[in-house]
Amino acid sequence: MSEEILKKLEEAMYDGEADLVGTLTEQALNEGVAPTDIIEKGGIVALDRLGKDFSEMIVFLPQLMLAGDAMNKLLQIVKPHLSEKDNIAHGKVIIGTAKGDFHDIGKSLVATQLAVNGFEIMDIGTNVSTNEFLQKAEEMGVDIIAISSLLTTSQYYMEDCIKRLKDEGKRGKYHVIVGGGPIRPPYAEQIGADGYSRTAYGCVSLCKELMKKEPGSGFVAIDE
Amino acid sequence: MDAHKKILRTLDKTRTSPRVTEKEWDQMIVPRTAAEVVKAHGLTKTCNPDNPVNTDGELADKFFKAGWDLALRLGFFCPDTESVIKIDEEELSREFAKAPDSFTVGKHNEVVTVKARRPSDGHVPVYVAPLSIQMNEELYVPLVEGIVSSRLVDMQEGPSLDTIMGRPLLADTPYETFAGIYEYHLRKEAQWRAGRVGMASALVSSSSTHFGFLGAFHLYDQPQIALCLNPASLKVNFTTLHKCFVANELNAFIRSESPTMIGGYTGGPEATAICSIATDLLQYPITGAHLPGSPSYDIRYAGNCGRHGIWTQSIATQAITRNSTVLQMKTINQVAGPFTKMFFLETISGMTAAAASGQTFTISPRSAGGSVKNHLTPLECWYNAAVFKGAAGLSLEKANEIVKEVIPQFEGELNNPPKGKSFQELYDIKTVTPCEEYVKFYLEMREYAKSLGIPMPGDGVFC
Repeated sequence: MSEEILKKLEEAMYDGEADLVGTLTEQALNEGVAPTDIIEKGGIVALDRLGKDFSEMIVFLPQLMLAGDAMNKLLQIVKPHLSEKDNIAHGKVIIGTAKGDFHDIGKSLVATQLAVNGFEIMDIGTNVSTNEFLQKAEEMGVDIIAISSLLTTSQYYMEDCIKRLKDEGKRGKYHVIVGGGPIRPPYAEQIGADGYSRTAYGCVSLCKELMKKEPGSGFVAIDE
Repeated sequence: MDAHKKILRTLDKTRTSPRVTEKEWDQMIVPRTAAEVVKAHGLTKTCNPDNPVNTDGELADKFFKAGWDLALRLGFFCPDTESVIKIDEEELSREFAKAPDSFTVGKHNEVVTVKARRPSDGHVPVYVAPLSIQMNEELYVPLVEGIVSSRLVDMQEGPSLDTIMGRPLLADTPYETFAGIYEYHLRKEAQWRAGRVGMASALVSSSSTHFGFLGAFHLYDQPQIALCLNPASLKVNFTTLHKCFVANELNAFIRSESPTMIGGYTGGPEATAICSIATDLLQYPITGAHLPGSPSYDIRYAGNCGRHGIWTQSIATQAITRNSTVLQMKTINQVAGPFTKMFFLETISGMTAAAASGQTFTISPRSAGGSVKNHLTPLECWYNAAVFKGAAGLSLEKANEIVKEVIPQFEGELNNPPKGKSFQELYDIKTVTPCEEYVKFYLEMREYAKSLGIPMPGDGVFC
């Protein structure tokens, strides 16, 4: 019985049907399926398939994003049922594109990869001012502030955000990660970021690594 | 006033059109509609990565019809008002019919006519260099002087400045306004040093918002090409419309585009191609563009010289160039950097396909994917120009044969390309002279292109 419902959940997750994922997750919990099995066999298996199919051009960004939403739904329902040792939530991330920059595909891809890998994501969109980053991070109690920029004229706001955190005595509260077309590891390190990743996939490893460290305690770059 | 009225109509529609959220537009409306149109026109799985340059004219015509259909079904999304600017068939037909088939820019010895081409057209296309790659401000003048010292380069667009008089160039601030003005003075100096006074430009490249444009575009002798880029494919925002009003008042020629991403919101290669065509068609009634050209990049490596990128660009270009006499441009996005073999092979692949497919105009290079500061030199520009112009008269079959020979040599590295070397590493900046090793390599790569069957026009400096 549990195999059957997990298979249905996997398919609903693959198809990005968030409402159906919610219903099936509730049903699986009611039937006594272990919360970790729901996450692993209902969610992660589907997301792994999607990741492989994305690289082979069988599915595209919209399907990944819908699956990201569906995974968020699954995690919201399952989380209260997890024991301390089972807790798979990796951390809370606020993500946006820096002021003056309206590009969103790279940022959305990173947000999706993080969401499907167990991070709680707050995507605050494009053209985000430093004040907005700081204000939302405070309101939402995030662990990581992720700033994207494809434009060289917007990348300065990454430095501005880190400087503001230092000036306001909040640098120790948040990890700050940066990425986007013109951003390279030396720049990220020079401005005092905690981390950089060249790819959306690498950003998952980066955030997992950072969650083991204190903010501002050393730079991590995933440049593969 | 007609041009202004067109932009006013667009602006009116942003206030009165139906509202949708950007998320709905990106994740639901665009992908679903594009997929429906691909299916309805029988285009599913027509992408053939084994033959990256399309040679089937009837297929290109079907893509044109599908792109037209999609344009009418979608329209453009305006992120500022979260509204959809719809265009009806009468408006689209009327504005498309009025679109120019040529225009002339430049003064003195630098007059250039941009003229529509068809696939395999022997008429030589126009080459513009470079794209807006970020450079240290002290390198701007020597780099541009070097680039435009070859007459293979018809006009100038980039590069973009890193700083302005040592200060950060912050988006959305008066620093950008000044950047436009500062770039005007540097550009003038560089073109004068190279003996290219009167050369036309595509402007303003150092400022992405409207500030630099509003501050500086009027300083240039007109007409010039106005960069009124869209925030994304199938979208237009107020920043673009600010620029369009000014460009129209100065009788400039509007270049408007934004890339479609293969694997992104638009979906696979077929759906991305029709989104690219629709984006180009809708520019006429919405922004009044003279030179639209939505390129397509592969989201997996943010370039377009691999198989899917070449195929998507070739079918979308041919769809337009076989079915109209409008001007067509698309950029070629290399991901490898200067003084790497991969960069030159990507260039052969992208530029051969572009020229043979009938592109009127291109701007390049995007060495190192445009993401590594100072990784751009004149030699990459000249090589791009020589291949683009040399491949103009090639048949689509010959272009496909060349691309098939070249792509296997670099496609394994698309996800992790070599970044190459910087301008300072490869050139003596004071004399604007490349190092001997790079000149030797450049000349070898020219010979290689010739051996493939591309007649390579000389650069006037080394050959």
